[in-house]
Amino acid sequence: MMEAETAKILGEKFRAGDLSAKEITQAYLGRISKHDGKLNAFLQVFEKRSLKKAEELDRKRKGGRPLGKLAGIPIAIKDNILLKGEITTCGSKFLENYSSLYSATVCELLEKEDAILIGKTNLDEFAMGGSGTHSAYGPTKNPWDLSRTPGGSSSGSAACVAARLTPLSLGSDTGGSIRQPASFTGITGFKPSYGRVSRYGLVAFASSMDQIGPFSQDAEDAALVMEVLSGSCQKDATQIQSPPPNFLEKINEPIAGTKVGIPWDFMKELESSSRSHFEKTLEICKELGVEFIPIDLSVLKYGIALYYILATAEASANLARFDGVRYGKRSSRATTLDEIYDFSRQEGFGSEVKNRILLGTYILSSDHIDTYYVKAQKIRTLIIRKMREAFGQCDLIAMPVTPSVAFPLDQIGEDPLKEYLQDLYTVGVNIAGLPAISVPSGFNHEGLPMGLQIIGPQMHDSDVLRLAHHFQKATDFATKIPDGFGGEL
Amino acid sequence: MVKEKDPNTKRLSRLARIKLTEGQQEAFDKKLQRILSYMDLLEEVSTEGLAPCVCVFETLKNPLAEDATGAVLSRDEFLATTPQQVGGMVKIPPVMTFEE
Repeated sequence: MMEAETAKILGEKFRAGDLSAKEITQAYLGRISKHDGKLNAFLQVFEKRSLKKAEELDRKRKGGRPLGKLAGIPIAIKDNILLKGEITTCGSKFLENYSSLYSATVCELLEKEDAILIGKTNLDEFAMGGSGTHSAYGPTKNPWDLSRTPGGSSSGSAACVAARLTPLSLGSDTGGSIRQPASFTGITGFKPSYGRVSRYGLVAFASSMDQIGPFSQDAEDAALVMEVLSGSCQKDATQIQSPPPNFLEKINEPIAGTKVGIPWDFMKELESSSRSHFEKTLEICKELGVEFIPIDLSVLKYGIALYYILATAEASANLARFDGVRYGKRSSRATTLDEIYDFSRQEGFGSEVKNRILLGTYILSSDHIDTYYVKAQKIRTLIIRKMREAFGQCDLIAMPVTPSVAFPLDQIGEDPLKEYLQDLYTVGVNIAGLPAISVPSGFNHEGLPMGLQIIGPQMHDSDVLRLAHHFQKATDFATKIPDGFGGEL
Repeated sequence: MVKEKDPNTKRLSRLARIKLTEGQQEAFDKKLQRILSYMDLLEEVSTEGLAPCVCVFETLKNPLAEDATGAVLSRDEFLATTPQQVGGMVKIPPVMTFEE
């Protein structure tokens, strides 16, 4: 039997011959089989595919051939990331039977580095949501409290790492969809700088903000995955073609003397217990030699309004391709071409996706585009400028991830704004294209996980990971496993 | 910003090509009104002298791919995911109909 280890340790044990890739894979497949019924984290489990890859890797290792950076390590993939020959649903009925015609660059990079793709995970439909309840395939549950949300939209990817059903997973983050579920489930979730990781093969939600990133047990594992995900791609025109740093080396560089900005004004409405927790977390960082300075980011109070103008506008354009003609659902009721569009989209999309498409359509309509979309793009320029000014005074910024801990599943009501306001501390990062991480920072009085968010300037991904790594070396929050999911594999 | 929020979901559903029942239109009208009212917050912000953001990386120029042939999907691969096909083409109902 094996313990639930970090990816780095599993990889070392595999290379040393202490564990075979087949043993590792079988152990995690066994955990998925035993526990996923409670969580609904997985939409598909690749039993045959993953065991076949594991056996190939065992032969490769025995034959003394070079092994990739993620050799022997299972990883789950959010189901809005394409994998050739496998179904990609995006959590939607529209793509229930859609078999991908090509693989996302990130999947190709992972396979090239010998990762074992173990399955596809549940998500809010088309990555639109912050609760995991907007999936057409049922909500994912939080392993820390099955009556609560694990967050979203990368709900399954977060839950499966938190419950140690896999050591790693990939998610996507457009307004907080990696960081918020990481915080709600007590794991590490990293959103790279916009342009760091190729979006080719990520089903687009808001193309100017989407980024793929890792969920892991700690920042060191996140750095390991980032070394793979940052590979160059010629098919994404928005990927910055600068060589990535050696993340694993960089995270071990000293942290003392780093200046971290805290936007106290922006956080003045934070509820008192969350604020006091945040302050205690900062004390831990202070002991690492970090200096804190106050910064003004009051402009971020406009972030939610801005985000939901820009993201829904982009989403309405991106989801126009789902028209029932070339792929995906085609309504059996349709007798004309217009009905193919109208009925297929009526039947294929859930309520939240329809809400956002309608909102985006309103925003982009000729009588409103200047009032909303153009104005929002100007305010976006202002936010980018303000963030740059803030980074002129500090190296990194720290904030809470969310205003609250994971909320009950039955609290998701009819008012979409209530869910949107959860994104208060995360959307500014996507608006400005910055790297940011959520690391576990402890638990509230109910035993629910809480997270610390660390934000860096554009393309300073390794600096963000470095502070996260040092924080985790000084604490043990990242090692905690929910009751009922611990023990040997 | 417009003070009166009338999303006119019936019109939006035509533009967005999503058929909605009357009940759904009313429900979405309410949701959109609520969200649009919240967005009035942006009226506080002066955007004088600000250019709309084109890309978060101001220095990113539109990169062009080499004008060369490369691997593309074959017709068979493409049609494998098509809901209905005929004679190697995507099949749809007639776009134009003629009255007898």
